[in-house]
Amino acid sequence: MAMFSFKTCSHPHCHTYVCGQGDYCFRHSVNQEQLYQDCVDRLTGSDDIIDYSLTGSEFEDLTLGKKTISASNMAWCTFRNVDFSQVTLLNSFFDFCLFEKCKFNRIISRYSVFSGSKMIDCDFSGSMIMHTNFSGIDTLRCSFSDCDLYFSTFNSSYLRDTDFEDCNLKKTDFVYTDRRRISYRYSNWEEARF
Amino acid sequence: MNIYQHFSVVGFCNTYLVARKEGSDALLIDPGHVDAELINLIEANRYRLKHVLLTHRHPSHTEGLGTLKKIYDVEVHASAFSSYEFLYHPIEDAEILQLCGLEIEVIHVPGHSLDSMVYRIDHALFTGDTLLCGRIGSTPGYREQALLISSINQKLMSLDENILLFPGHGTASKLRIERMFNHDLLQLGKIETERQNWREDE
Repeated sequence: MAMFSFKTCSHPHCHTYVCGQGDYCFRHSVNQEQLYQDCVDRLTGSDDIIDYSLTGSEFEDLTLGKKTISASNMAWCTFRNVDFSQVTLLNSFFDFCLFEKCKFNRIISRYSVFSGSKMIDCDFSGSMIMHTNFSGIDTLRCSFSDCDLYFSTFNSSYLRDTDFEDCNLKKTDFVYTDRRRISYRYSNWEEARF
Repeated sequence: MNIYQHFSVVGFCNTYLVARKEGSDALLIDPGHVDAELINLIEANRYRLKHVLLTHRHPSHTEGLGTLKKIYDVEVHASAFSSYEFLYHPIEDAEILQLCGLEIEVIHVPGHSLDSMVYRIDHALFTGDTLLCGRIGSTPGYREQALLISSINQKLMSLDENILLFPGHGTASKLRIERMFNHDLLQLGKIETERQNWREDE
């Protein structure tokens, strides 16, 4: 399910979606510290997150609680040493983010977007990542091994030292990717698009 | 606004159920295949299905319509360039529809097919087979491909870059993402060739 409020920032010429229930995006909010803390509480808590937007913030050393994040927008954020392992992502947008040493083990992701993000030392292994958009990502030392990547797309991405071992790659899109030291061992790469 | 994405392996088409709020009147975009999961989505959330919007006439986007019309009394809206064996409400470029409490802007984007329509509802763009994640829709020839690229550039790429993209096939995206990474729109053939010459140990 996706519920989108689509309310944009009241700051002149800013088209970013508003943060929480306010009138401004995170960047143009006067109470950034409070919004940030509220976001951390939401992320680490156990309640599901629906229709939440916070862009351009930094998160470090967090373990997210078991929850579903749906119809949410966390584009342009930085995540360092954040554990997403117990999270289900539905229709959520994490585009143009920086993920460093983040864990996504055994997550469920459907219809979500990671496009344009840079991922360093991130582990997605054992996850079910279907219909998820990774186009234009830039990976270094990442693992997608043992993942179901059905209908996910990595097109136009720059992949380095990244493993796709023992994955379901049916209808996975790797068109126009630049790949160095990538392993597809035991995966059905014949059914992917290259 | 509530948007539900439904995927069917029959035709690999995305069908979207759109409503203003839970329990309200709702519309379906491209019922490519109607199965129990889709019916359950409508019924479990107490939606009253009133309208169907078709992006274009290809079977993978319309084939579920027969089943759907047996269950629900829906009004079908499709391009005036199409012809169907049932009654439908013909729509044209730049028309604004007021359906289910939603304002829907109709954008004609020919190229994949002559009758290809894109629907903009608030900050969501339902692109059918015109603009997909990382690529454009297939075309019968180079002339149609040029038409599709110019239609997309003129009519879609001028919209706000934060607009969310819900295509007929594949994954969701944003207009900004397609501006930056859609290879078919960027037409970066030469760069691809240059990439082959980059050092292997990079």
